[in-house]
Amino acid sequence: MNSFELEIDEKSQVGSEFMARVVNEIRRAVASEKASRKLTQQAIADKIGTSRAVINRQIQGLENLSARRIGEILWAIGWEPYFEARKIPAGDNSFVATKEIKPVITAKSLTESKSDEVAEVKIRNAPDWVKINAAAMTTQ
Amino acid sequence: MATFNKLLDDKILIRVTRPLPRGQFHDRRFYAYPDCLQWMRVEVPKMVTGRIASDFTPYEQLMERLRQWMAGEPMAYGPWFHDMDPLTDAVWEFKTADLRIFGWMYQPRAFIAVRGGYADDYKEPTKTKNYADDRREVVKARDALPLDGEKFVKGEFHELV
Repeated sequence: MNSFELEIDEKSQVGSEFMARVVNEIRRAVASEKASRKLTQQAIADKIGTSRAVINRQIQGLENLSARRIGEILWAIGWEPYFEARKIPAGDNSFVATKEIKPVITAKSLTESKSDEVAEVKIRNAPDWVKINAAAMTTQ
Repeated sequence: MATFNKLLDDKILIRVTRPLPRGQFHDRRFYAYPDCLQWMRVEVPKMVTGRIASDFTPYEQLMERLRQWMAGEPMAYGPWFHDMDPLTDAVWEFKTADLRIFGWMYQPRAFIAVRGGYADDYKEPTKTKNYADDRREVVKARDALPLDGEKFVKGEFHELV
């Protein structure tokens, strides 16, 4: 059987996969708010002061998403990002030098709730060093 | 007429893969016509991001979307992958910020790519292509493919993707 394997360098792979995880987390948070209180992309755009088209492209991971805009989108829906970097344990990754620092991004509720609202995102087959969490905003 | 495997052996179609990160495994399949594969591996790496200011080059976008597809991750209907009007043609569009790839679903979770394009070429004021032409070319290629049995499947997004 004939097949062809496209190649990608490690730097590109790490960068694009990390951004994909960030986008997935934002999409999950927005979908959660849309389901619970019918939040629209227009409402997010109005709150941030941009157009719905830009928000749509950013939530879909098509347009450049700065760290600032990540914070703004999550703020607009009542969530917030949480970021930390940690070192990968030696031998615990497949494509990055272990001396590099690995980012970890989470989004959590704006409240200090310790309730069961906090749920780890189940990213299928995610590498061990990646942990993305999100907690829904409690309404109490 | 030929079996699907015979078409692969004869290089009329080529299965496209990419390395997946540790812990991810191949799930959905992606096939391409040789010309389309050539475009992906030679032309796309030369491209720069277009009017949608993506963080990533078109080739990086392609590789990430392929990773999501091949690893079986959820695909966003519309902005990432969707069937084109008229739906009766059963032609699908695989999308990134800067790329458009047109083809059809041979089986559930098996996409055959016929041709691709640069997204800005489909938009004013630099429009040089239109989606209808690509859709027709996909149908034409599919009709001409000497494949035994059903050449494509129809169905809802969640059934096929």
